[in-house]
Amino acid sequence: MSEILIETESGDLDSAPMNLQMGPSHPAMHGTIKMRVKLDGEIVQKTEVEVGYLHRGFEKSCESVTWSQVMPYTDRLNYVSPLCNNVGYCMAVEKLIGVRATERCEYVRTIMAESSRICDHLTCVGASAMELGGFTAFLYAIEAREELWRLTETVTGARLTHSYCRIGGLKDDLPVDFVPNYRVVEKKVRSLVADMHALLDRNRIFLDRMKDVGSMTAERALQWGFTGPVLRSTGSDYDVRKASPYMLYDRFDFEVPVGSKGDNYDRYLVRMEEIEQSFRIIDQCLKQMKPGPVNLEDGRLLLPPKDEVYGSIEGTIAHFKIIMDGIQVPPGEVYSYTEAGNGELGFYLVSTGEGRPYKCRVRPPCWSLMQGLHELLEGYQIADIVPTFGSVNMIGGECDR
Amino acid sequence: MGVNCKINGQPVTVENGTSVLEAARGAGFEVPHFCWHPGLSRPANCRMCLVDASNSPKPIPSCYIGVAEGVDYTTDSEHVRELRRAILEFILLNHPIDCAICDQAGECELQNNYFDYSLQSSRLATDKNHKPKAVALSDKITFDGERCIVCTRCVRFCDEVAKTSELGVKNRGERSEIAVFPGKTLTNPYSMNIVDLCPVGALTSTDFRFKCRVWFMSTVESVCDQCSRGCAIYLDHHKGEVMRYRPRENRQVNDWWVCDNGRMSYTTLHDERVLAPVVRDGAKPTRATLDAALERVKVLLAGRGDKVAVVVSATLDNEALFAARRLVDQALKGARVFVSARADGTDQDDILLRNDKNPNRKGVEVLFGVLPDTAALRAAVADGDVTHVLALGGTFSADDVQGATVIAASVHATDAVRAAEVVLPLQSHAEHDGSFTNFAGQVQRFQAGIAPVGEAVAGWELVSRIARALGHDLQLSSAGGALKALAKEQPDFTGFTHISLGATGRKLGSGLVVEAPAEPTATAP
Repeated sequence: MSEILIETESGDLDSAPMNLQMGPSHPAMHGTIKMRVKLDGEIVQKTEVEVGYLHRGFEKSCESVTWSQVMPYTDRLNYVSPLCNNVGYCMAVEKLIGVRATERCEYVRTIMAESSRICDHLTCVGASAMELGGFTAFLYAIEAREELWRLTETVTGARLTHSYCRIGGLKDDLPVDFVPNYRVVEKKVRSLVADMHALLDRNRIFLDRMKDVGSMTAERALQWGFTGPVLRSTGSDYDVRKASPYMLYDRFDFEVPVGSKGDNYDRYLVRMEEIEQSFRIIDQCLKQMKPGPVNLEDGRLLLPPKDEVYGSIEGTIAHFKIIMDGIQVPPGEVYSYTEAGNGELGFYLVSTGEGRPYKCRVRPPCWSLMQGLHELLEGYQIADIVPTFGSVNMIGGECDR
Repeated sequence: MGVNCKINGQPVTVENGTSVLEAARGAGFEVPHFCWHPGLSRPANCRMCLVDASNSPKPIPSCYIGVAEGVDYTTDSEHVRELRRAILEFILLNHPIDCAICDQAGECELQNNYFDYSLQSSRLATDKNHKPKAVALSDKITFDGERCIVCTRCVRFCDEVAKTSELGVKNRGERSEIAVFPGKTLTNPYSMNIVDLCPVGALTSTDFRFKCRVWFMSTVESVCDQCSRGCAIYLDHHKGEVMRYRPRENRQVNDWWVCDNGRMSYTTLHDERVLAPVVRDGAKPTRATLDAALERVKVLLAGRGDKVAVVVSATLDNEALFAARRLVDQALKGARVFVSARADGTDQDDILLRNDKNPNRKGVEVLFGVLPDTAALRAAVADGDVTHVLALGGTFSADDVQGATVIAASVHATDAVRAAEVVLPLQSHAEHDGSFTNFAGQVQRFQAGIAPVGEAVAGWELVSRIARALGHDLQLSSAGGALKALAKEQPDFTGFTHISLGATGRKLGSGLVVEAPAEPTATAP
């Protein structure tokens, strides 16, 4: 070991700051991000966050496919909560067209988006705990997520890349046995979440690593454009679902949990409480929703049923025109925003009246978080990078697009 | 005299005799139709263009009825929309579910009109009516009776444009069917235009059938090079191959039509192509680089004065001809210039076809004046006045140059080209930008569609390379630049650029008219 230590003439260890390249292949960096860290001993003096390792050209790709064909791409933005992205994109296109989905559709979209949010938070919290050595909590979280994924699979047909929403509706209504199945899953997930609380909330090691680490003030967080749980952990209660209720969120009774210090522990608590609130919202959806169509009665937006496509020339033509030319979106531009797992997910769309987006810009919540991430890291120890970076839940698919 | 009416509340003044449909289109209101075509008579049989009129208790066929003074026409009321849905329900009633296997899908007026104006589901509870499918109306055209909506555009085309009247409708009602009259054959030289005219997939080109889905193809605006008419065409290509030609509307040249020979000429585009430069080494032709071939050209041509003949082909585009003129003026001073051409045909009519099978003979005349032809060349070679021939374009025969040393730049490798000392590969008109001047003096632009075949070079560029080998710079760097330079030197071409030629082209000399004589006009611009 001794030959790699640099010794000065006086025989002391070199005290000059050390530059360290952390990532992108560091396990805690998800393979999708790199940090250039300047260390003074164990203390992080300066951090430069380098993103772009998962850039796929999402926005450019959208310009060469029809409005509907963008849907699978949105699954791959924040791939931990794809349904939030599906809903956000559909709402943007619908806003541009000037239509609103049916009431039942909005209830179903809310249920699915909230269950996606729960999965998002479970993944983040579980992985954060694992990175600190709390492997049991991780297994509990992933088991809970697995339950929800299995349920989601019965609805969307896929575990991860759901592509469930359609412009003007959904792939399908909820399956007939959804509610009883959901109740079983809910009970199990709630019990697992309670176990996680028991494992982590007052765990000495967890508290030492999380409390008063990676703090930020609400003012600074707003200046960086932070949204979502990271902003709310600082004490600001901005949540798109409350600040500008979309779909049916004004009908639901739910709280927006906020922290006080904006440290890792507050972010953990906010996420755990949001899981609870999401369950409350889903409960209310199930109580309020009534039978009805999930798709708009608009042949210009939605494909005809398959028996009509294969059994009548009318259905064949409608199917052909929508698939080949794409749905026709009137010229114009729109910004539409939703509260996704990590904060405000915005879509800025421009249409020139053709079957394809002229521009599809995404405002990913992670992007802003990465701009200000260094402030959460600087002044703390190098070992704190792992829990702090874990607690902001950076998702490369969404950040880099 | 104008007629005043209102269309959807908007005051419109049109010439007397204008149909309501045309007046509405002029005012920006699209009226769906199947049977109406601007180049044909109006039978008003599809009923798709019905509109409301204030002087009629019932809706009127807008393609047929002329605008009447003071009448309000409505093209988009709920009543009219309801009618359109009803008409489309009738038309689609027995229509087969063929989109997936139909060549027309993607450019089908029935698909477009149904999607834009109906979207009503089928209410047919019984089986569909069946009719003959895949019937060969001729060796060029395949007919599908089930897809036909009996708009009779094809029948009217044969009656009114081709004036051969081979087609008719047999039976009545839902049994109606397009058929060739007994004792006749559908062999008029314009028959394939009915494929484009057919708004659905009932008449398909046997040649194009099942070859390529239309949405895969890219399209450029081109000009047919098969006769001196120079019909405006669309060149559809896919994966570097020309898939078909279609007529392109140009009222100055070909209206909406193109002859069958011209349409099918894409199939011979690559026949016997010269793919790379060839230099004859003794008796053996050897493939060479372009530079090596040009070096040989220099050795053969430099310093031979009036023993050199430059033979320009009437199939070259204006840009190549202009480069050739500069070549003679600068690098081959004293060379004699001759014109070669494809042999005349005998099928000229008063529709489109011309006996002169060269797309740019007029261009040669404008750039070089009246040139001696290949008979004169033959005599000059025989007399020993010409010992070296630079043939630009392969439309000369071996007899024309018997005894001379020949350098041939050509698209196709004819026997005469194969016998040449040096062979240089030329691009076809599908591979580069350029322009042709038709027999009536209409200069039309054609665009590059596919990538050059082999090592083929555009005419203007090849001539520039020859000049450079001979130590002269023709100062041409693109086809567009060549036309601009030509426009500066040749008064007839004044003001012409590839962009200003536009889709329909311009008449020779039209750029010279700086200002039209001031005459009071009735209509505002």
